[in-house]
Amino acid sequence: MQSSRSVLVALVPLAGAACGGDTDPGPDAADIAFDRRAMLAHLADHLWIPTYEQAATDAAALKTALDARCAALDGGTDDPAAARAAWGAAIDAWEYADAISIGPTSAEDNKLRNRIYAWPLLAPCTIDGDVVTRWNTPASYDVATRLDNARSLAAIEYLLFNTSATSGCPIAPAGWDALGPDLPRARCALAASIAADVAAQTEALAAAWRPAGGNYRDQLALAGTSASAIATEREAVNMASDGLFYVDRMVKDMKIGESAGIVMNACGTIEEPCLREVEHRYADRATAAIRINLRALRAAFTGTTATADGPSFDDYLTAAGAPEVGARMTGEIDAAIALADALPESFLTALASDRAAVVALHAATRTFTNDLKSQFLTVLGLDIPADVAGDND
Amino acid sequence: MLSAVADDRRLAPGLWPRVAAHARRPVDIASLAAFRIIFGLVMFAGIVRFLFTGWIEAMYGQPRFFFHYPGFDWVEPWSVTGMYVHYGVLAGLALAIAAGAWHRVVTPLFVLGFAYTQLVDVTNYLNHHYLVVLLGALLAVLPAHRAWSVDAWRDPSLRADTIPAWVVWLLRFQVGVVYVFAGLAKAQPDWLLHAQPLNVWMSARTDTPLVGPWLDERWLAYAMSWGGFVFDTTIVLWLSFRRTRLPAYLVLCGFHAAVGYFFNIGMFPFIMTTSALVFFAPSWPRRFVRRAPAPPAAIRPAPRVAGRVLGLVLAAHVVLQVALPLRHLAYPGPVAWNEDGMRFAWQVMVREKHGAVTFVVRFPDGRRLEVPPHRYLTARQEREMAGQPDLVLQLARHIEREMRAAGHGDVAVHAETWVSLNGRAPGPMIDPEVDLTRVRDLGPRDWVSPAPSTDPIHLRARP
Repeated sequence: MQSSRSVLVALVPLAGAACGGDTDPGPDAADIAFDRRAMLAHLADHLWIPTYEQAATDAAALKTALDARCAALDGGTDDPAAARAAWGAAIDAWEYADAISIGPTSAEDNKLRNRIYAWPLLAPCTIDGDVVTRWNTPASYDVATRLDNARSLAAIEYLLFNTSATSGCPIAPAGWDALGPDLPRARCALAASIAADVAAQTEALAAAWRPAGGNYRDQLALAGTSASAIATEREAVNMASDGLFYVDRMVKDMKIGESAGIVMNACGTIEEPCLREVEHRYADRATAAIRINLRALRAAFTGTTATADGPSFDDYLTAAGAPEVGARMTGEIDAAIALADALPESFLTALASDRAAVVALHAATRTFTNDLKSQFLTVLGLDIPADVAGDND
Repeated sequence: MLSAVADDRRLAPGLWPRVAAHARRPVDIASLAAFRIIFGLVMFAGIVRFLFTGWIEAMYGQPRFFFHYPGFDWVEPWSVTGMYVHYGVLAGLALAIAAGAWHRVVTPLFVLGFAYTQLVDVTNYLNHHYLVVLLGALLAVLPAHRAWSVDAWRDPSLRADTIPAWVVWLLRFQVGVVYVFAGLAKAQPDWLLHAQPLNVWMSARTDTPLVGPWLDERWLAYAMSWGGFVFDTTIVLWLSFRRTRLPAYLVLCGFHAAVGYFFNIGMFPFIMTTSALVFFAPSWPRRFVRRAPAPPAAIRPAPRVAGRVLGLVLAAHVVLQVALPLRHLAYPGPVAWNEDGMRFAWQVMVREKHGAVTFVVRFPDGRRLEVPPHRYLTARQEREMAGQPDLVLQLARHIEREMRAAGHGDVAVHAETWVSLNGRAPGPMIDPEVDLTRVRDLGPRDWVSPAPSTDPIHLRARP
């Protein structure tokens, strides 16, 4: 009888343990003070807030650059380089933010996130229809009423980098052919309208974190007190940890796995690329996006940001008595970053000629997410994102 | 007292005849009627709570794939609206149980309807939901409607003041089984020697008002682990003796209140604290019910409530209730790891498991394709599946069927699993080299990797 045997085995040594107390220092003898609110405050002050401020600044610059380009086009000059560079800066800032986003960004089923950057939602045909509408009857176009797949930084990428005169629709939208040589100007006008919206949304997001605005920073950092609507510190830490899971589905599965045919994808390809699953396929910027995502993940996990080094999840794991878990996971992120850095700048090139490197990056990313979804959650007593807080027993 | 009056002194010689006579002696029906009323009201409260949590959408509307129990593949959920109606009807049936109205129809309907909500998806399984089905099924066949009920009011011929003692024994047995086996399930090293998973759970709750600062203290986890073990394994004993019954019941209430406060265990504390009342003398409710009929001076013989067939069924039930929780002993390895014999066995709160699962489809031409579970499962389902090998097997077979339907032919499906049990370093739960399409889940699960030999984690208290 296994249970009876277990009881006997358990009783003898436990008698000693109960009398003598817990004398085994184990691997966790050193005391390390850890304050979850301090961790949340550090991440808010040195990661989330600066990141969202940067995203707002770069989104505003993109709007300015697009306005300038539209004006140049009206004047007969067509040099998209400055606008494309501005879009690059804006998307880089957003990729950093996206990989660690929590709170206002993800509220209401990612409403704000998708308005800023809706990928993988992108509908070229709808955008082409909007190009015509916006050009012919500007007053009838209202970006606020459009679906996410026809606005956001993803739509701007399509408008800026897609130079084909052919529409993305099976049958060109009414009025498309009539645009003729005005097509670049029409695309720019729509891109500028969308950029204005993206700038407004990123500014709203940054404001939601500012002390003078929504002060989400204090909601997190003062969780469990009367100054915060977040009931407990644990709940706030759980929200912060939700941001780490971006790497699982978005980076590992979608950006890398589905694009490369490692993971089941929309194309039905097996071990073959699926180009319509590739992020930034018009700008061919997916490699940069993956690198940025992984670096943001590292900053959130370790608390080591561009401006400061402070407490975060690795320290929390150490304080909880599992320093090896934090060290191992940090090493796994670093390994993934190294592999991402070794990829060709062009992700499309990597898919075509160096698929093994993409497969290796995918595997390295999965090593991290395996730990993230198992021991990390257990040790810190956290839940997976989007879980239902149901009953247990 | 009625029980004293009913005490049959004319027991036949020999153990079995004496036991049989003792079992047939009439006892007050009051505790059975009260059990029925309280059970109905607790079920009503639980179902109404469920209706207002949004869980119906999450559990029945969002999933695209449902895990089935063997033989119940045909059970599918209604539409979300239909499930709301279903739960609404269950709430009405629960009230009818409490009222004792059309007991012989209403209670079986409630049991079937409640069991249906569990059969729809294995990830809905909770020990206390299983207990609801068992208690409801017992109530359905016991004469719980013969007093303090609409049925007895409508049909005076149904009325009874007494029931055979074995009816109360049967309920005590059912409640006692939960405690005893929940206690025995804790008789293992993780619980007793490492205070896990309580140490993990409590350490995450240090922001609990008042007691929070102590919750990550390891001595407290040990104290609660051992306290829980001793409580579960002995509480039935203390409830069985008149002198210790009341203090034991007060301890029981405190225990369940504390557990309910710290952990999300839903209606479990309410079900157990109210069910444990069955250990009191059968006439206990009459102390609290004003105008309740006084115990009759002359006791009518207890009605015959069980024919030979029902008697055999109930006897089989008793045997099954002992055998099911013990079945894991027939399988190698710890049940918390291989889960072979985990359900219907009162393995309550004995493990904390988190894991990652990736399915790998291998095609005849040598190519491979990964399938993440989230293509089929909600986050809740994925979390539940990650620690339960039989559920991984079910989804693997579903993926195989889909691949075949898509014209991919004879594919192999493997599972790369990475699971942490009670905070241990994670490891593969299923042998990644096993083609799960070739596995039949009968007998020992040799396709499950050996349990980790390391100790569970010991968390450190904050200074």
